[in-house]
This record gives sequence, C-alpha cells and structure tokens, in this order.
Amino acid sequence: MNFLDRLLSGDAHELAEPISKGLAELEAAAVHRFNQPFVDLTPEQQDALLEAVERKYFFQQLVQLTGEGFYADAGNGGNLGEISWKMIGYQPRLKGNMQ
Amino acid sequence: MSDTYDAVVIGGGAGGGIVACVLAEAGQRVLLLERGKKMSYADVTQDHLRNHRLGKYGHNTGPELAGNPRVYIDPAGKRYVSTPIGPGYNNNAMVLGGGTLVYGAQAWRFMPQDFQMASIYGTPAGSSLADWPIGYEDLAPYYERAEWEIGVAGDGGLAGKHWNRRKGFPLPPLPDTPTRLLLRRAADSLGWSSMPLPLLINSQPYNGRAPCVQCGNCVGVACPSDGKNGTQNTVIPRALATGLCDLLTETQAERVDTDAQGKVIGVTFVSIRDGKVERRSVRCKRVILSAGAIESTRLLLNSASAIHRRGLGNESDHVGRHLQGHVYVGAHGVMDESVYTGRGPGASIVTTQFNHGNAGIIGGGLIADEFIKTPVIFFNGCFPPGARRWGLSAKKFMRDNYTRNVHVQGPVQEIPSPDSRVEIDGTVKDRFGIPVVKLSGTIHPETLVVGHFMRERAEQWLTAAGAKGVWGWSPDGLGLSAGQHQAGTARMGNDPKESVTDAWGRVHGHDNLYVADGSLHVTNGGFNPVLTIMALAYRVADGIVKG
Repeated sequence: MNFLDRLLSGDAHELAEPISKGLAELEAAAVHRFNQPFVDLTPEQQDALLEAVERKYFFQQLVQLTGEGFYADAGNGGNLGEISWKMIGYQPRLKGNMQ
Repeated sequence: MSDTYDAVVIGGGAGGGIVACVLAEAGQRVLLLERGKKMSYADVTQDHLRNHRLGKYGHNTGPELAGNPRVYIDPAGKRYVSTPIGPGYNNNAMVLGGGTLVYGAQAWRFMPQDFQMASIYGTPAGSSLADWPIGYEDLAPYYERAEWEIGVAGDGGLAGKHWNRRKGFPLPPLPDTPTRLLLRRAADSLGWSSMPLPLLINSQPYNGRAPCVQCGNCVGVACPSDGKNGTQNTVIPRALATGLCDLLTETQAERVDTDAQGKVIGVTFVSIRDGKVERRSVRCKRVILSAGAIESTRLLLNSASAIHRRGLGNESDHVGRHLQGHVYVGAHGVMDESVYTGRGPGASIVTTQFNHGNAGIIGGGLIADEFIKTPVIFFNGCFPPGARRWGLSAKKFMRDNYTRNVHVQGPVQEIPSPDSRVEIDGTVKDRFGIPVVKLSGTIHPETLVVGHFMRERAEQWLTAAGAKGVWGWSPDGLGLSAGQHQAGTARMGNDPKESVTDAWGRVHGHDNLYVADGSLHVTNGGFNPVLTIMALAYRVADGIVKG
C-alpha cells in the first residue's frame, strides 16, 4: 500500500473524508474550467487550479502528507528507492538496523 | 524482588538511574521502577515520522497512544484530552534511560549567574523568578562526576573561560565540521566566544564502549554503536551489577504510601501481567521521585491522604507550579556551497556569549548549530515564512537548500510563572485508572523579550558567516512550555513556604521523601538541562548516603 492510502486508512483516517471531498471538487473544477480531467491537464493548468485551492484546509493537509510521504524513510511507503533523498543530497550513513 | 527495600527510586531516566547507582553502590537495597520498556537500538526503530524529534503519528519510545491521556488547557481556556501526540501533551521519552536514550546529548553546566537570577535581575511582576538555595560551586563537583561517569566530549580549556572547572572533559571534542569552521570564523569576526559543543557522546572508546560512528541520527532515536552515553548504558548497568538493585520495567508507580501519621512508608505500583492489571506494594525506608517534572508532580499530588490533603509536600501550594521548559529561537541561512557531510552529530559549535550580561535583558541563552535534520524535518520547518511548500518551486527549494542550509538555534532561559502548572484532572484517568495530569498556563511575557533578543543574535551570527537569505524565528505569543526540558514543579528552597524541597532535594515536612529530576530546578538556565539533572541526582544521592 502506498503512503497516502496507508495513512488515510490508519493514522490520519480523519483526513480521508475532507481530502477525498476536496479532490472531487478539484476534479469538477478541472472539467468545468478546462473540459478535461485534472490528470490530463498541462502542468500550467494544474498549477492554476491548485493555486485557487492552496488556502483550503484539505489542500494544506494534502501538501503536508505528500511532503511527509516523499521525504520520510522508504519504510513509510512514499519514498521508493529513497529517491527524494538522492534528489536533495541526504546521505543516511546507516542502512537498516544495526545491532 | 523483595517486600522491603532501603530505597525505591521511581523513574529510570537521567536522575533516577544515577540515584539508583549511587545508593546501590553504597550498599543500599534499591528497587528501580520504570514505566517504559528496556529497549535496544533495533527496538527503537528509525521511523522518520514516529520518533522523539518528530512524533507526528507516534513515539518510538512511548508512551503508547492509547491509555496514557493528559488534559491540556490552552491559553484561550479550551480543554483538550490529549494522546501523547496531541495538543499540549509535553511528552518525554518513556523508556529505560528516559530521554537519555534518544537525546542529542548536549552536556551543559549552568553558569553561576543561573543560580542567582532574582538577585541579579530582580523578579518581574507576575513571575516567580527566584534564586536557587545552592550555587554553582555547590554543584560543580557533581557536574564533574557526571561528566566523567557518564562521559562527556568537549574542550575543557575553552569551557574553562566561562566556568570554573577543576579538570577538563574525559573525552576530546567530536571532529571538526564545515559548519563549525565557518561559524567559528564568524564568531571570531564578531568578537564572540565560541567552542566545540560539549556532548555526552564518546569521541573515543570510553568506559568499555565504542565511540560514535557519526551516523548522523542522534536526536530522537537510539545510538547504533552505543557510543551515546545515557543512564541506560552507564549507571543503570552498574546499579544492577551490585546485585543490590532490582529493576522493574513496564511498571508504573501509582502512589507513595504514607502511614496514619503521614510518614512515607512505601510505594504502590501497577503493571500488566498475563493480560491482567496487577497492583503491588513494597515497604521502604525512603522514596526518590525521578519521573520528570510532570509525572513526579502527578505522584506527589496523587499521594494525598487524610494528613496531606493537598498532596505530599504541597502545604504551601507550590507542587506543580512554575512549570517551565525552553522556548527555542534561532535562524536559517544558505551558504553558496554545500556544508553537509552526512557525518553526525552535526551540532558542533556553540556561543555562550549571550547567556548573561545583555543590557536590558533578563538572562539569555546559548546558540549552537543544529543536529543533522532528516529530510522530512527540513520539509516541515525550514521553508522561509510564506514560501510555497508544493509544486516545482518547493521541490527546487528542497534540492537547492538541504546541503547548503546553516541552522543555529538555542534554548532561551524562561522566566518562571506560578500559573504555568501541573494539576490533577478530576475526571480523566489512564489505562490503570490512575488520575492524570492537567497542564495549563503560559510562559511569562518577559520570556518573549529574551527570545527576540536571542533571535537577533542568531541572525547576526549567520549573516557574519556569509549566509544568504537569513531568517530567524522567535515566539510572538504566549503558550505553555515544558516538553523534553520540563522543570520547576518541585522547586528547591530554604523556605518551606516558597518551595517544595530543601537544598538537598528532600521534600519539606518529610525526612525520607526526595525528588531527583528537573522538578528541582528553580530556574532552567539557558542551556539543555540534562547535565544539571544528573549533577543534582548525584548530589541528592550523596546527601542520602551521608545522611
């Protein structure tokens, strides 16, 4: 299970409803404004829609969870291959648990 | 396990581990109670979202989220029943060794002025700023003992410029880092003193254990080489080696028992055995509370009886008051080149130029560079105010700043307030049915002034180091402060009307009840408090042994 699914069905389950509701509204806005699903929009169009919701609670929570998933340890399910760590230059000097 | 002991020590953290060791080595039969588990490095785990530096969804070293609530009253008066990751909980590690298993291990002596805050600065209206009943010279031999028995790495010569010291540190400082070199040059250019950060970390093999392997994961997790020194790998094993100390982990003290005359006669504690809650009591000659400023208070108050209706030691209504911790202030900046090596601890240099002697300011604090941060902590706290944390610009910020960031910060000496306090909540109970604490109050407004002053010094240091985009932070509103540096709730003093214990940590009105943890601190210094907790524990134990 990926990071968000795991968290929204577990430790952050109280955010599942506001986030799925907010995403549904975002999808509706994409269709309304650009006549296409959000995933098919250009990056510029996607950013324009996200800017419009960036002060909303659901989006701020989603940004927070996304950052946690992407930048936390791979064991949490959102940083496959420690790709974000390679990107920013973080070099964990311990691999796994030592006894 | 026996029915009677010479001493029962409640809490196997910084204070209790030391008291148990000193008493057992002096021949006393000791029972050491710890409500957390004994945990290995592997047990503690490396989860970046569930540790004691970032406990977003839980704590690797307890308490568990279920069954350990506290009540918190926020500054607006709103009441919360919080889990250990909830609002206002002010958690500290619940594990054998306590915070010393997972701390960053800064090893500070308080300065002589820290023991005389009221005499030097006066007592601001609404505060309970007071002098300690002892001075630096009273505690100095015990600081030295803590430095040598637990193990501190540092530069004794440079520390000797600020503290009267009989000898140096047992271990040389950890190796230089790029940040230490550039901040030392900056301090020199400003005319500020600086020195390598003293740490309770083995820079070389010491006391039969390996040195630090510079893994870069000090704070919030345990040490892979066991080269970080806490009570769990020093004095507690020594206590057990005497054969005179019994250790019960996962066992929570419920109350200090007293007889019909109000004299302390033992302790009742509770644990879960074979799925069932089991209560037991032992009798003892003396009891030492070392459960931390919040939980030691809870025990004193929950031990009320017909004789001590307001709780033990609480005739003057000081138990649980003056709760304090450390407001943190600091600054971030960006260097042109990477200053990151991945080698821990990361925290490497300090200035104590501004702990005292600042015109118009009460006290001050240290400023040091920060430990290596996990990427998610960087994501949470290191974007400048107003910067967008999503989209391409956020990713670019992370990529461009993580290895070039310099971050200095430090604890501000708080001005204590009698209204910042720990009480017992009338309704909420823990998993054993024991009434829990209610935390309320805020820092004194004067602390904001000190914080603002120190923030400017942090910004000044980074600017002098050539950092760009320097931005600092300090609190601009009043909130409760306690956390891992919690202190003050059983303050020492000579006058029973103004304090909870005497100058030896013995609770007023009792000849066999003691406190040995941060609760004793009249004020909490502008320094991480653990070495002071350790030194006081040696002194309290010494007082017991010498009678």
